[in-house]
Amino acid sequence: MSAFSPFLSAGGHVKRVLRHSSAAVFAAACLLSLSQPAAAAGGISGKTIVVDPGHGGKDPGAIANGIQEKTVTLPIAQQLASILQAQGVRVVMTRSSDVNPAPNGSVDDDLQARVSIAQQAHADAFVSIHANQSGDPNVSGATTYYGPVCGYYSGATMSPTDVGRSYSLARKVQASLVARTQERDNGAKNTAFWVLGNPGIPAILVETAFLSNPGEAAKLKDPGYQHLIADAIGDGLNGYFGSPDSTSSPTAPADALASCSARASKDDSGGAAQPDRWVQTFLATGLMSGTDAKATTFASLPAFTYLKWVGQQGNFLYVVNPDTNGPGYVDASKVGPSGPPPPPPVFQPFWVENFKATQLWSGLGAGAVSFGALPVWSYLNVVAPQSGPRLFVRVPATGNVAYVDATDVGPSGPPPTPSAAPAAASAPAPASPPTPAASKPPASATSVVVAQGDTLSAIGQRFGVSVDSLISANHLTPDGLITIGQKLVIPGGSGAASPQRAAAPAASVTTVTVNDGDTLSAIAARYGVSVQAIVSLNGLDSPDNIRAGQTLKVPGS
Amino acid sequence: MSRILAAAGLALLLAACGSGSGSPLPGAASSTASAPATAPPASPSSASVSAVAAAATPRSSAAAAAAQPAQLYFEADGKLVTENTRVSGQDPALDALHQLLQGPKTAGHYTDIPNTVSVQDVSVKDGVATVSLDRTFFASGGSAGVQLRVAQVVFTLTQFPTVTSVQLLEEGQPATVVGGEGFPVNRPLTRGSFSSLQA
Repeated sequence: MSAFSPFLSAGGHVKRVLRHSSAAVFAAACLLSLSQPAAAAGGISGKTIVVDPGHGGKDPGAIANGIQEKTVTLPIAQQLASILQAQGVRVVMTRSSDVNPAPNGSVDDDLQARVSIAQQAHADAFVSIHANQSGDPNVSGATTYYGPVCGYYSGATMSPTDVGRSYSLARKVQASLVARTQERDNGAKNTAFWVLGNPGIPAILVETAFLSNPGEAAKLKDPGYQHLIADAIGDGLNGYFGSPDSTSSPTAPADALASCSARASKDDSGGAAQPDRWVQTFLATGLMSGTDAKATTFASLPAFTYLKWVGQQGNFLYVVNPDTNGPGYVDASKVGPSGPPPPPPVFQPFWVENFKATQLWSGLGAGAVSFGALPVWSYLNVVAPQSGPRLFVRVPATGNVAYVDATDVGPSGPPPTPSAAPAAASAPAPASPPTPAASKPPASATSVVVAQGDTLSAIGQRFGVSVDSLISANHLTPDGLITIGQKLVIPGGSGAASPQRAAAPAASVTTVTVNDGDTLSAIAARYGVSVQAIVSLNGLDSPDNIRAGQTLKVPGS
Repeated sequence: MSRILAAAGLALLLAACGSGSGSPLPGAASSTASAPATAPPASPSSASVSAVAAAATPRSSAAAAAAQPAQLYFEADGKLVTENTRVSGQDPALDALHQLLQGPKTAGHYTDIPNTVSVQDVSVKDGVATVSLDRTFFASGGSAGVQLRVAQVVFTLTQFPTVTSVQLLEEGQPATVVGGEGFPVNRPLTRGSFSSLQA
């Protein structure tokens, strides 16, 4: 599931989140045409295509040879829209004048708004129009970008099919553009530009020509040349929708399809890979619709809520609450450092007593046979999640497992005392309570490595020490500037309540930051411990799933 | 390696007549390391901070320690090219960045870093150089220029044996993206991130 699918399942609260940013965008998104197809041009008629004029409003884009990129991308996009409309395409533009799609928004809001418009429109393709720039004025030509599966700052993930279709679309548009304009062919390239992380939608970003090249800048200003470019892109789109690629899963270069975890453990060729990151609140706080004074708090988050980290804006994190699929902002000082996703819910065996005599059944359904009777007030250890009208239990007196009717037992309670159930020793002990809140903090954390999103006050609260004492213990500047990866000494090292998941025996644990190129086996060898020990201590999904910059706990050797 | 050791020797000679002025800049590997630069890049401890600083001199000699050969990365025809220079043995990473921001000295070489950009801080730890730049570094450009801009910094810093990746900060805060195309820079970047830009 992508990071932004919540936008699609827009419930009431989602709309409220979007009030100050993207909701305005959807209204601004300009539905140019719903006109019926005049002629079936390949397979494009009836499709929905989002055309995105790059930059706009506060963001001029590249500036070279006296031209602002945003003034070139808009007319090309408008001409492309007209061409596509005439072919029966439903065109949605992300902007139709010199504005930011997310008014008053940050760059992040602006870019995400463009993605959201495409997602809301259930677009069949997304085409972002740009003009390029380089320090060297001799550089020229056209480039069409498509996105890899991952690495987007937004946290979006493209499926291999999405990437294959985007690659096919990029090549067809690039070929058409080069053929029609005779520009230098800089190829179809993959880079994790924000708008290309557009799950389920083939997405490309067309760098039409170089504004920094005086010859190409002159052409880009010319409405006739703008029309030529638009026409060429339209031809490329037609070629794509007329080809089997648009309905199949075409292949794409391996580096675009490489998973980010594999990439992070080697080199991160192909873009800045960004696997999912999660944070956990350590105080009750609110999920807010924005970061300014107008923002409203629309949901309360209990302490120790896991949130998927999407981005940061000032002192606020932009997150998705997995329980509600709702995006929103939280105060960065109310959450702990980012880490791996929450562990999947683990079933915790629990104890019940039957309050009346009941049967032991061989199965769940009506066909099950009864093979024994239980006297009232038998202790039963429920050892599997309930999936029907009966509970799967172990009878400590015999060690047998069987089903009992759930309606015949009382609520879960403490395990039997040894005298009450002599065989209890052989039964699995009830595991620790299921909430992460109750996880054990390190008993004596004396240092911490600063993670992205950390603040000094958050660290101070986590360990029960004051910001001032952290500043003095670590010889920080008075404003308390800290940097990612920096190791901070915790004065006193008492280790107050920590929200960090620590399945760890707290005795002797070293924290290590993963370097680029590190592998878990290399780290394990370095510290003389087993790979499995690190995997379990950190709750990793797999030994391959580490990334540069991640901090890992390493058990004492 | 031999080049670094040679540089260390030279630095020490120069240090003997150093001016004694100036305190080390933030992040400067300023220890009076006497051990040769043998720390492997993947060393788990922050001891590796100073393979560069193995060429380091006593901290009193900052001004005189311009001793270490280094390369600065610029652009020619959309690809990265290098220029040779010498950087301070005291804080080679910071010095190299300062020189990089001054722009190329060779005709036909260009820089994609806006001339408004200033370096606020550089620190090296566990192979990651953390660089704080002012916000104009993160402003829009063309998609080619934006990638070259970041690559110039990453390549210039990763030439030092203690640096394998570069984490950018925007005025001290975690960086998100560069430019209006949203090129992601929210994680440590390596040379591998820019394989298409090498000449």
